[in-house]
Amino acid sequence: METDSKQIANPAIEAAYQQHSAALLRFLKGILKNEAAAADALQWTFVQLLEKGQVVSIESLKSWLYRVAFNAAMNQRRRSALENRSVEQIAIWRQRSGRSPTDEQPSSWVDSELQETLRTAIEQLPAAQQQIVIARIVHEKKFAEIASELDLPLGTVLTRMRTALAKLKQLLNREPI
Amino acid sequence: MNSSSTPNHWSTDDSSTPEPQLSEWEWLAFCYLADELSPEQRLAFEQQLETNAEAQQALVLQLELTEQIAGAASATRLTTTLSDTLVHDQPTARPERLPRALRSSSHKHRWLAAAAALFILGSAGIGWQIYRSQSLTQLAEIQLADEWVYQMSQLPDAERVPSNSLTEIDPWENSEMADSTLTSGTEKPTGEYWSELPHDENSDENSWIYAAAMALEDDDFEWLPGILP
Repeated sequence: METDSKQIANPAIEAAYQQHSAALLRFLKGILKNEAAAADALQWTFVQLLEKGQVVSIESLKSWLYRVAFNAAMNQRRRSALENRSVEQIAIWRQRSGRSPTDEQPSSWVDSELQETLRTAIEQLPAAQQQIVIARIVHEKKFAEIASELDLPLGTVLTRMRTALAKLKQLLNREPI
Repeated sequence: MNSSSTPNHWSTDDSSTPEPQLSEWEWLAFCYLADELSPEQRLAFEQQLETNAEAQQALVLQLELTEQIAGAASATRLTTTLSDTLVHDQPTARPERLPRALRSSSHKHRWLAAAAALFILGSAGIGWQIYRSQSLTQLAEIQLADEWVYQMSQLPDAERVPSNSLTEIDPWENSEMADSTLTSGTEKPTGEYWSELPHDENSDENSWIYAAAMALEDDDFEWLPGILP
């Protein structure tokens, strides 16, 4: 572990929270499939940073956060009940910033302009790709089920889905996390 | 699994197409989110999630992408597209039924109609009773008027009462009892008239009004059906 002069101080932890918490929450939600559990795991991650931040260098902060977040998710998954942890420092950060990761998710996830763009893009997809995208993402059908319904080879369904996702991903125009 | 290696499951068969493609990690992340991986593949990917920045970034990106697509595609015009394309998979159409709200509304209407019918029937019955009692009263009035005319025609001219100067008939005109001796409604009368009448000593109903009514003969009312009980 690094113990040089670039150790994490509280202002740096707060800055890390502002910078990485939203992406980390998505990461955790992707693993846990549960927003509340993901939020708990995110809190636990930053509690760990707060307690052990002295031994984390700024350069390795991001990878450290993801590793700790992943472990938090695994612990969370193993536990049958979710723990409620009171994290006063994070609450203070939330108050200072006037928002929280869970608050800012809806603003980005329910971006009406982006959704309109995506809606148009989905409509402009070839019908063969469009029906698979909708069947998979909206109706949550399995690829095998879609292939059976459309009487197509599974590989064809996967190819069309992957191609459609690649087209739609370009519209997000996201900055790298 | 090495972080630089690419997963080989769920490989697609369009490597020759020029269209934009997802990276292998992005595609794997999508399959992970969609729960399309086998347990072994899932475990392998999760091991990568702990340390592999590409896998981590791919998961974050795919989660955002799929949620945005789900939100965008939830619009009616898009969700109906699949129904249109998969129409051959739909079961045989059932005969159309009224929506539940309308069905319950129709049910309510039946009860309202029944209640209205009962109300109308009840009102008609009450109306008939009122009409019948009014008719009897009118009949009695007519009979009374006829009897009055007949009685007047039987009297000598000198004894007739002018029709436009009716005077109050004093039922005690020939009585020896003066008005001052009569009791009020709450006093018990005294004297010979009172003692001759059947009465209840303990009842407050005994009054001069009661005495007057009892003094009349029953025959006086025989021709007035419908007035007396």
